[in-house]
Amino acid sequence: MARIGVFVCWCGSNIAGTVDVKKVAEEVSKLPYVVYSTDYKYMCSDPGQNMIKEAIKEHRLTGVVVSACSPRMHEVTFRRTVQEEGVNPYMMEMANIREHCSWVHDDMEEATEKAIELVRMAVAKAVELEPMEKIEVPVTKRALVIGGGIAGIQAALDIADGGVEVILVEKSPSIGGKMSQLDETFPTLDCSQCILTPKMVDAAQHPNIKIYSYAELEELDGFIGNFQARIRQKARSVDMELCNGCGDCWNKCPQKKIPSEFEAGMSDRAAIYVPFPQAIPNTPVIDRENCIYFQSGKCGVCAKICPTGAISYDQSDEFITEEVGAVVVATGYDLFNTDVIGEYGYGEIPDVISGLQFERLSSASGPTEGKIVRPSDGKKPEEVAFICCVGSRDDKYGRPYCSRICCMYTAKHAILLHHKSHGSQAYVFYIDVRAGGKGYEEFLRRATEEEGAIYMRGRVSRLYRDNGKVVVKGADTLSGAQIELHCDMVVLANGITASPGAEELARKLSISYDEYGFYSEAHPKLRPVETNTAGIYLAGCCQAPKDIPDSVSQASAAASKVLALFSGDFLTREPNIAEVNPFTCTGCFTCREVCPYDAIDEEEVTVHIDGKKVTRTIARVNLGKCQGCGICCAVCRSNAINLKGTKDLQIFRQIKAFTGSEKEKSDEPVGSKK
Amino acid sequence: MEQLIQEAKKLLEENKVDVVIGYRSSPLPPFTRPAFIRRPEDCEQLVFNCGSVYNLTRYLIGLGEKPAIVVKGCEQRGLVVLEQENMLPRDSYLLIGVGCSGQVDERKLREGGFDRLPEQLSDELMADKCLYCDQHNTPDADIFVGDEVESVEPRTERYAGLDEFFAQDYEELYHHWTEVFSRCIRCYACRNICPLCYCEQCISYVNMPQWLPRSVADNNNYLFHMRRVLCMAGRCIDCGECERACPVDIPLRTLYKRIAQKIEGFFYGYRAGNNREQLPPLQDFNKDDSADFIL
Repeated sequence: MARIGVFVCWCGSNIAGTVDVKKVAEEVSKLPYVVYSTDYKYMCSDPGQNMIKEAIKEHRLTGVVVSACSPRMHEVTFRRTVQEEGVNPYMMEMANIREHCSWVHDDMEEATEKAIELVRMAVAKAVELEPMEKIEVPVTKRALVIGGGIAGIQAALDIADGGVEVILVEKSPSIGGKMSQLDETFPTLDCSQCILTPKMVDAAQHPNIKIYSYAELEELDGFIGNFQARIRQKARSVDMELCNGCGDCWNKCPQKKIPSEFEAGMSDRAAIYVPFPQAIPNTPVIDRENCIYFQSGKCGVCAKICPTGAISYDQSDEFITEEVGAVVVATGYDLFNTDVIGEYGYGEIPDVISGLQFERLSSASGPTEGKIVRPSDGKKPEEVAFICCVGSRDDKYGRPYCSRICCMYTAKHAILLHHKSHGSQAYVFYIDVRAGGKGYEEFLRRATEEEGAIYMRGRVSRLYRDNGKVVVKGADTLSGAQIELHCDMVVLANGITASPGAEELARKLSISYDEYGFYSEAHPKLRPVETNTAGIYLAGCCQAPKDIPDSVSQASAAASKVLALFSGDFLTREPNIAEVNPFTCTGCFTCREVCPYDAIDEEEVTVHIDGKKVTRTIARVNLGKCQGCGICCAVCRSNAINLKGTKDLQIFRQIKAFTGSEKEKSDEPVGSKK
Repeated sequence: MEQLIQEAKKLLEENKVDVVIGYRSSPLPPFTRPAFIRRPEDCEQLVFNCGSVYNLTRYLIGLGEKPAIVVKGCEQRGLVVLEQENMLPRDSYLLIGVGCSGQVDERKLREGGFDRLPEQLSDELMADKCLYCDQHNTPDADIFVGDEVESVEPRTERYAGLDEFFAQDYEELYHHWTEVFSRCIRCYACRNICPLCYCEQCISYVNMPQWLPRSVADNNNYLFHMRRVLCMAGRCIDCGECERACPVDIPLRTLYKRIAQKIEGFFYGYRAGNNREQLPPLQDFNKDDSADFIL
């Protein structure tokens, strides 16, 4: 016979201000199986929890109903409370009379009535609760990091330094990411390559890090602590063991007219190439779509001159499966495609360039060796306009969000222009300048006060070419004046968009993403690096636009999450998962087809059908994989799967307690085993 | 049906199967009854004609013997569904295929005042499902006996009249079906004869909790039948056995055909049992799937 105690919390005035808690406690004391009920100001406080413990002892309670806030808030607290008094923690049920009642209602009488109903339902369920034990699953102590930009590298290094093996997968031929393309970085103007390349080398030489470059994640199976990652190693067409990186092949390759991705199209590369001199690994790849040999079957120059015979045209994609226990997603971002803004003429007017192209122009390792010149005629630009918020904060292009980096990199560009192109004047068109980071406001003031950049608040309406100059038409909204500037060059500060293929990868990983393709964190404030899929973490711009320090911070945070996960040999999981009734399961395996977590295994059982012994194959739930989503329960025709903790009977009793007639509500539940 | 007899004999003599499941004549021609033949000499009893109405595949699950079974074209779809649902591997039985040009409808025969079947089975006496049959000859048969039947133009549309009928508003439909179901005596013949009802314990028997109250009351009957419609969604092969077996003439096929029609519309023309490789809609997910039916 169940003996239920009900504990009604005031939550200060949060609940007691709208709900007559005394009346709730009194009313529910009349329910069947309720042997004790009381109320208290703060149930979650020490004295409150002690009241529960005392009552368990005194009234020999078998189940407890805490009528308080959301279980998200204190379910764990009260489970621990009852457990300390020797009651199974899953014999505690919460009735949420705060978020679901007092906070959303004004009328005390009605709210009290609703609270009574909520507690009545919780009591009905509590009568049918069953003790459960936590599940222990082993952990594979290896991590997968997807994306080899600064966030991925940082996460990999931190995890590897913690003594855990890391698999780093990068889809382009070299690790380094977008940061490798930058010139100097705000707000300290240290050279991007100088601070990044040592980290790249560290990652490459770290004994705990295995890098797959020019590779992509094909499929991720499994669950927290026990993932299987299938990785596609794309065909490099170059044997990494044999190649010594001498560079003869790309120097001699006859196909040299391919716009270089690394140089943002400001110069060309060969069909066999390493993206940049400090690339890791320093092994070239053949771009098969542009290679003469692959397109026409003739050429083969690289194979002929390679001193080590490393060129391998018949290489094909390979698949590798790696066992890992956690995944850090650091797939970065892409820049907003400015082609779609017709009035800015990007792509048509040669002297209208993107922010990244300016980085390459300004970079000492760039196509001009750091000399800032106009792309059209190679002359020094005297007047340069910078346009902020191109594709950011713009509903017209479906991007209402702020890209967070453009204000600062534009200020940096203005400073770099002043440093490297003496006498040139920078004009910056902005909407608002956002300089929230450490040292950012000072950096901005340096640009305007010391480095002579002229800031004008207003959007640019149109750019067009006139007599070798680019005419910038816009408005200075502070003075109200129409502006027409004749500039030599215009730099568009294009914003951040989700990286192409972000949604496809999200589906492979079973993680969610927002309407712009950025991955969703589990909680915007309190769980910013976790995803809703256990064991998968986020770092860098794949989650939302952010600058280098923020990306690195998040990467280290993700790494610490991974290391914490790996700190024990077993993971304990909540036992609220599906359970198969072996007597009624027919073995149709519709559940296996619909299970998103691949959590249905087969099991052989011997049963008696019409007096005959029959061995049948039925479904069994994999304790490690099941996430308790309940889809299997919904599709099971014979009702043979149930979700522990929310079993059919438990829900049924709640529904009955709420919808049944007065008599049914107060009657002893029919057929109850308690 | 000489060929059927010879083939059955051969199978039993060569011990290829333990039992041949087919039809034998009955005291009420043209109707036949199910036959379980285990001795070669009994094979002479086997017949197949327009009165071989039963869907024998109902016997296969849990049989415990290796059978050869006579299956009509329409019924073969049920075997495909059972195979997709892992209930009946294809190699657990031998399929004896036949050509069928239509089966007689007992109800029509009775109502038409015929004591005996005319020489030729006319469309007036034929079961509804046969009038739009597109699978006269059993596909995927291990042994095909008799002559193949030439396909005939369908005389009616598969889903004829359904759209008009279900265009009535909800109140009217609810009223209509409540009235129809009030005849139901909960004998469960519809469920027991269904080749696709194989649950160890039907949900209508579950009593912890009791989702479907078992007493014969209008609401309870309504729940039982609607729940069965959901069970049949994307699975019913329209063999018509439920409607034939119903002692109180509930037009069950109207409901099952309606859900089949809906599924066909929502899920790329899916028809249960037509294609072994095509996953049933309940088991398949495609991000372009129609979501119109979700309330």
